[in-house]
Amino acid sequence: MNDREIIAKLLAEKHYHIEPSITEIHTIHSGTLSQPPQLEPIKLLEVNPNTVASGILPLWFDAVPASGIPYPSVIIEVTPGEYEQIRRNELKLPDGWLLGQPIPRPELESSSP
Amino acid sequence: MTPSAKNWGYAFAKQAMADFETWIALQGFEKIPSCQKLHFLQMACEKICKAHLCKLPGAKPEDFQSSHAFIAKVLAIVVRQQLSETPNPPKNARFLASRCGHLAREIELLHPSVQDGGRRPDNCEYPWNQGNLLYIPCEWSFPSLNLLEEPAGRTLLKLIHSAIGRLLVPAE
Repeated sequence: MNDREIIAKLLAEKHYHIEPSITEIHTIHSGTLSQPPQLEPIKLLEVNPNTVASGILPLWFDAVPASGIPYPSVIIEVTPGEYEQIRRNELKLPDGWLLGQPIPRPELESSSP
Repeated sequence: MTPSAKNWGYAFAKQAMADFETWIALQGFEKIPSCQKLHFLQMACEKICKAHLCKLPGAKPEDFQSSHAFIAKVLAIVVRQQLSETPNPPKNARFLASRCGHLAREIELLHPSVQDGGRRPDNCEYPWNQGNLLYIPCEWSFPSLNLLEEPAGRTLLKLIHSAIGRLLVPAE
């Protein structure tokens, strides 16, 4: 894994830990880089049955190198229903973004609160 | 020059901080009704959410200007990210995130246009009719939002303040 993938995994694992209702987290990748590599954000799609359906609402967070997150991040949270719509291409991610690989929940983490 | 997404994000964050600091400043004034104070908290939370939405390159602020019913969802994610970015997060981060989500929903319901399908007409701005009784915000105690006493209430306030502050720091 490259550095960006490692940080994405680290961030996803933190989100799994803090929000046990999250069932899946996927990376999102752009077709082409829209910014220099060091400014390209980590993008995560998080499936949470406890959220409300609101369509695609990407939230931008700046890099926080002091906390081990040297890249900006974009978080999109969706319901399971919206996730299925994304998989069927009925609900589009912005700017030609594509659903990437899942980041599994760490084995020691249970999904119960 | 057309303001960039970054400019808009900063502008919303700056106004969010002004609203939040006004909410804090009003806490010591017993004669000011809770509705007035909470209005500033609701506005601060709405603007921090809009700041994170606007900072995405290509985002259109006008898409979010008149929208209010997303605060609970977005604030929960902001809190989660804030806890993730904390070098030494509290051991009860899960509990905090859960409680903050509940409080964020109560803050969202302060706006008169967010009524949970009519079940929650209470809001911080306009009188409302419920059960053929007329209620006035300045006479309503907003018991669910006594944040200084609610579990995780003070933590939520700190997290909101930190999240706004982080948006005002030049990106590293």
